[in-house]
Amino acid sequence: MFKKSTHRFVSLLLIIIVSSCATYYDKSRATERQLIAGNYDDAQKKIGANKFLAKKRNALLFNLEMGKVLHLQNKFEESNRYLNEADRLMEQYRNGFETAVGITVNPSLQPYIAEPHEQIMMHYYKILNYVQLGKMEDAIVEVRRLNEKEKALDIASNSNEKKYSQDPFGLMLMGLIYEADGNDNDAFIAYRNAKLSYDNDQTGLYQNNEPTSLEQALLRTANNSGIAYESKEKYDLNYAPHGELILFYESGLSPVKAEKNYFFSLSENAAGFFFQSGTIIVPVVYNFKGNNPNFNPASLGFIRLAFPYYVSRSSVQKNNSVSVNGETKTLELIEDISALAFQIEQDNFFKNLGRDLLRLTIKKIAELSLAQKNEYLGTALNIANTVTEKADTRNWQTLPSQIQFLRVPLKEGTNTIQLKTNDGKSTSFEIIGNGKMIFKNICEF
Amino acid sequence: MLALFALGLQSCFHHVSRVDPEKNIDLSGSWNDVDSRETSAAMVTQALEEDWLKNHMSAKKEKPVVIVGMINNKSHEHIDAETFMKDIEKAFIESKLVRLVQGGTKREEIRGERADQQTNSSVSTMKQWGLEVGADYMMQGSINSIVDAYKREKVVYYQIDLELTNLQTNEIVWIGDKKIKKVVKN
Repeated sequence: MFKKSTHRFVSLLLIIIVSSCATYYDKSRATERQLIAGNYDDAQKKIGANKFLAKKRNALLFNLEMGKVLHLQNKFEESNRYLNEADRLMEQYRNGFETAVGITVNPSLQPYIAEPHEQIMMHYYKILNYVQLGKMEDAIVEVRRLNEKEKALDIASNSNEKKYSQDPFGLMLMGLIYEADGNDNDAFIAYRNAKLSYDNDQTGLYQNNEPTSLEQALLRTANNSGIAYESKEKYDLNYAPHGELILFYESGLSPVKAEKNYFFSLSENAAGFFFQSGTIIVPVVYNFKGNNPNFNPASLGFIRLAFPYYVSRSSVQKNNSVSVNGETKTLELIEDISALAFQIEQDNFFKNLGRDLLRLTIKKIAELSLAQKNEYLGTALNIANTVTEKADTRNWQTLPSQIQFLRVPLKEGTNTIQLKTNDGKSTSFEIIGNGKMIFKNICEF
Repeated sequence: MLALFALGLQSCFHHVSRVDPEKNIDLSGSWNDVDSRETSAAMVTQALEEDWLKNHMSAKKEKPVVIVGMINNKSHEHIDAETFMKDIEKAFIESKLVRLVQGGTKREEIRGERADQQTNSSVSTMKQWGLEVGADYMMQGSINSIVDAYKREKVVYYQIDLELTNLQTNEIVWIGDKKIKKVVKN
C-alpha cells in the first residue's frame, strides 16, 4: 500500500519536474512570434496573458516587457507608467524572507533582479519616452537616475576595466540629453566620462568603438561652456544651425537564458574544500566540519546543479545604410546588448557558480541528516530538492540585440530620411529641421 | 515542498489597512508626501517670520499679495512640483498673513472662463477684465538632490531652495532653504 502511494507520489513529482523544466523563453515564445511579425499590440496581449509573468516575483520583469511593447506602439505615457514601476521595484527593499528563499531554495523563486545592462536600457527607453512627450525636465531626472546607475555599476565591478562596469552608451545618452536641454557643461562632463570609459575599457566591447561624433561633441560642449579642451581635429563648431537628428536603430532580439545541468562532487585538499565538475574547479569558503568533525565530502555524492546560460537568438546581422536628403551615411554600433549579456555572464560565472553550489550543498547536508533520522523523510526532501532545483532563466526578452547610432545635421525645413537594410527592407520618414536636437529610434526585430 | 511552503507564506502577505494621511510613513526612502508637507510648512513659517513682511505691512498697511511661481525639479526623482506648490499655497493661506493669487495653468483656465462669460453670461453677473489683484511678490525655487550610494546603502540629501522677489523692484526680499537627509539600507 505504502509502496503504491509512494510510486504515485514519485510519478506526480516527475510530471512536475518535466513540466517545470520550461524556461522563461519557452513560456514567452508567443510574444516573440508577435514581435517578429511586427504585431506589437498582440505582443502586448501575450505579455498581459502570460501566467508566469503574473506571479508577484516576476513583477519587475512584467513591467519591463510591458514598458518595451508599449514604447514600440508609441504609447509613451503608458510605457513610462510601467517602466517607472519597474524602476521602483528595482530600488525596493528586498525582505529577508524572499532573499532567504533565493539563497536556500532556488534563485528563480525570489523576486527578479535585473541584469546591470537591463537597468541602463530601462533608462534609455524612459528617456526616449519623456523626450517624445516633450517632458524635458523629466528626461533630465532620468539622466540623473542613469548617472546613479552608472556609479553603482562602477562600484559593483570595483572599477575593474576587464569587466562590464560603466556603460559608455549610458554616458553618451546623458551627454546627448544634457546637450539637447542646452546644458553644455553637464553634457561635456558626460561626454568626457564616456570617452574615458571607451579609452579604458579592457573587455574588448568598447575600446576603439567610440562614435565618430564624440570628439566633435566634446569640443563643442567644452567651447560653449568655457572649458579648455584640446582636440587634434579641427571642427566647425556651428555645424548644425538647423538642428540635428539623433537616430537610434535597434535590431534583432537580445539573447535568452537556457538551463544546463552540471554534476559536481565535493573534495578536500590542504587548501580546503572545493567542487569539481570535469575541468571546472570551484573553491568553497565554508567549514563543512564545523558541525560534524567526521564530515566526509564523498558522502554527498554527485550534486546536480541547474545553471542558466545565455543563448543567442538568431538575428540577421544587417548592413544598414541611411540616406539623409539623398546623402548616404553609415550607422555606428553604440550598444551591443548581445555581447554585453555574454560579457556579464562571463564576469559573474564563478561567483554565481560558487553561490549556487554552496546552496545545493547545504540542501544536501540537510537531506543526509534527515535521512539518518528517517529514511522516508530524507528521500522526500531529496525529491523536493530535486524538483525545486531549477535555473533562473529570466531576463528582459523584448530588448533588441544591437543598437546603432547616427547623429547628423539637418537642413532647414523638411528632411527626408531613408533607412535601407540588406534584407531589402526600407523605412523612410520626414523630419523638420527646427534648430533643435530631434531624437528618434527605429526598432526592427 | 520548501518551495510550496514559501509560496504559501508569500500569498498570506497581502494586507491593506487605512491610515491617517498625516502619519509619517517611509517605505523606499524616495521623496514622498511627508517631505512635501514638512518642507512647505517649514519654508512658509521661515518666510513669514522675516523682515520683508513687517516692512511691507508698515509701508503699505495691507497684507502682501503673493504668487507661487515655478519650483524647478533638479533632483534625481520625479517629484510632482504641483503637490509641493499646493502645500506651500495652503500653508500661506492658513497663516492668514498674506493674500494669494492664482498662477500657472489654473490662472489660464480662470481667464478662459472670464472670456467665456463675456459672450454667454448676463451683463449683471459677467466678471470684468482688468480687475485681477496683481501680486506684490513671487515665490520661486528649486529642489536639488545629492545621492551617495555604496552597494546596498544610500544617503540621499535634498535641498529645497525658495526665494521671494518683489515684482515691482526685482529685489530679492527673502531666501530660505530646507535640508532633508535620509539613509536607506537595502
